[in-house]
This record gives sequence, structure tokens and C-alpha cells, in this order.
Amino acid sequence: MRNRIREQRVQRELSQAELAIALGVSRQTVISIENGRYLPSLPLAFRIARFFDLTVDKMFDPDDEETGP
Amino acid sequence: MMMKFLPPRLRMPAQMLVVGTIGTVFGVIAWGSAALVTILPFTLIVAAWYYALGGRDSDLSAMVLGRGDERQEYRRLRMQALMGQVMSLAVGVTFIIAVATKTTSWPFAVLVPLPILSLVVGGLIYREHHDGQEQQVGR
Repeated sequence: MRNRIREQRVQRELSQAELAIALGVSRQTVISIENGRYLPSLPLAFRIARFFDLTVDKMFDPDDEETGP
Repeated sequence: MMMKFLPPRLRMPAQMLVVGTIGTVFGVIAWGSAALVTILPFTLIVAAWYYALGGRDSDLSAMVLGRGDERQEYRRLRMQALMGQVMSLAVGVTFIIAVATKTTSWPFAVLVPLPILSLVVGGLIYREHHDGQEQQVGR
């Protein structure tokens, strides 16, 4: 599953550590989600989407099935 | 063990030291001073390792400090599941060896059923209500 976290984070000039603090997760988890190695839970997916003022389906693209938790 | 009064980084090392010290005392009673040169240094090394780990920004340190997020908790659960499987397998293999070599096998009367028993207990503790029942529209 592809996501737009890296793109949105870079647009807002945020570091992975800053985003991690804002989302209440570790920096390693932000890295894993960005790289598609970890699929976040539904509550975390909503937190991410809300943080970037986007909807979950705009943030995550289910059509690309190359990764999973 | 309640060690809330200590900073998080010191809790696991302190627990290791307490458990290790108790183990050393029992070791000294059972085997004499030999325990001092085996259990105690091992305890100190493990406690120091936990302390060093606590200062690192890594998944492992977050798990050790009990401050893991959902991914780290998921990872910890998978690690524990693997450990459980390995231990279950080890008990089974050791039981077969004990029976084949006709050595003491009574402890296995407790250990062999334990993985299955814990699986059943886990299933009961973490069961979900309405498991497998179809819900009607509007319920």
C-alpha cells in the first residue's frame, strides 16, 4: 500500500522526528510507514490524515499491494 | 515489580539487579561461593546492557523501557510469540530425549501440557463476544 506521508511531510518541511512527536509515535515507526514496511492501525491512519488535513483514502492508496505489516 | 519511583531508564536494570541478587543468594546457599563468580557477573552485565540500551533511540530500547508505540508493541508480540513457539518445541524435544534416555521426566508432566493450556487460557481471556455470530441489521 502506497502512502503520501513523505510527500506531505517534505511539503510542510517537517523532519521525521518532528512528525513522530506530532503523531505520538516513534521516529522509527514514521520511517517504516513512509517506506511502506508497516501499515498503521486505523486510529493512527486517521491521526496521520487529520494532521495533514487530508482524508484517509487520499493519504493511503490501497491499489498498490506491494507491502504489508 | 513496582519501581515507578525510579527513572524509566533505571527500572529494568534495577529489576535485573534485584532478581540477580536474589538468584545469587540462592545460588550461594545451594552451590557455595561458585555462584558469586557466575550469577553475579552475568547479572551485572545484563543490567549494564539494559542501561546502555535505554539510552539508545531504537525499537529495542523502546520495547525494553515499555514505551513502545503500536508498531513496536506489535513487533514485541511477534517476538514473544516466536519465543513461545520455540519454548514449546524445546519442551517437546527435551521430553522425547528424557524418555529415550530414561532420565527424570516428571517435570515434563507439568511442562508439556503448559503451552496448550496457556493457548486455551489465552483464547478465553482474549475472546471477543458474539464471536462467529451473524448480527442482524439494526443491532
